[in-house]
Amino acid sequence: MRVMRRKLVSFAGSKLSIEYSGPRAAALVDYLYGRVPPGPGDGVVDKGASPLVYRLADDGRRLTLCRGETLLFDGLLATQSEANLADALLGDSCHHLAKESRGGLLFHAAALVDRARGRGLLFPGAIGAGKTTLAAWLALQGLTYLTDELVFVPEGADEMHAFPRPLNLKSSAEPALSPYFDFEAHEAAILRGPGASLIPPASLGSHDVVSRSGVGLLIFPRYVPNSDLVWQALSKAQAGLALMECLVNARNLPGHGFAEIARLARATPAYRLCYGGFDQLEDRLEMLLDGL
Amino acid sequence: MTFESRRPCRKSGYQLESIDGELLLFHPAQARMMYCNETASLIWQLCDGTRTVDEIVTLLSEAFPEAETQIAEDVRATLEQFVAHGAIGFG
Repeated sequence: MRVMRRKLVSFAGSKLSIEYSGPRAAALVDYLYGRVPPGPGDGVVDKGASPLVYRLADDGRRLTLCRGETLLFDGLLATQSEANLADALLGDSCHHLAKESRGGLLFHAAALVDRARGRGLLFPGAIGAGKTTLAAWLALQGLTYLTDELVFVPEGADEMHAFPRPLNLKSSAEPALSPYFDFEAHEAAILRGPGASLIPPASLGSHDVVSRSGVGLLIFPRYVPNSDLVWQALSKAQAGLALMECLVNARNLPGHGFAEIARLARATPAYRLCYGGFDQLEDRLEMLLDGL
Repeated sequence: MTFESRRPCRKSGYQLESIDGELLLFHPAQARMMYCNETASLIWQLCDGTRTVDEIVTLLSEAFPEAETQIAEDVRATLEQFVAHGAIGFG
């Protein structure tokens, strides 16, 4: 009889449970959520379930994924199936965490730590802004990767909690990173899906598991092919507006999080970054990170 | 009635955050947010339903004589932006 194990994912005032059995399922859960700090509910499943339960199983031939009683994925055990299942599980679980998040501001954002300057960098941005690609490139420049998707700032706090996960890099972004990252050399660690690849942070040099940091700088990135580099200081009110546009749990917060947004904007220098390629950033990175 | 003789009035229901002379306006019921730079912030505060657009232009021209030629145009553009956001009505 296979033992069902459990990974409890608790983040941003929201939680879910992933129950899994079989070696491939266990490896996938570790790949996707291994950087999530362990919780008291991890281990062998007994009693007491979280509000949402995913069940992931491999029987040696097939991989299946359910959310509650709903089948989300069923496929033959193969690399492509693992990539598709990983995409389904990661996307669905992040969506759930965001939908139920309370007690602070949850942003659609990437985050890194600039250890040389001792501060955290928050990169809020909509889908397609280029957050993941920029985060990957910055990690390759020596910054510590935290997340490319969700960042939580607890109410009244001056630190951010990142949802640690592998980078979810769109296939179309690979050419921009190719001069800096040897995809072939890291092929074994990359989980390739049809339109995107998951890349473990360690492959980019971020070996330490870091998920919390102060918020030292807000940078609103936007990748526009062939554009000139624009690095523009934002007023605090402009930063507040831009932050509000990336807030994903407004409906769960008192006053839609407006007062908290203003608090964060008041406390943190903010810039808008528009770039057309990493060659533009290479020479200026030190200056940009100084916030000049 | 001309645009200049109308009396713009702020709509209710907005939360305000004043930051360094600029304003963020948020309407929780409509989940709508608006940014006002310093000029727009002043215009917003003058939209109390008692002053005409002309009077707002005059007040600002007296306060900022160096920008007098531009003020009428700025006031009109800003009020149009407020109208587009549903943030003001006209008495």
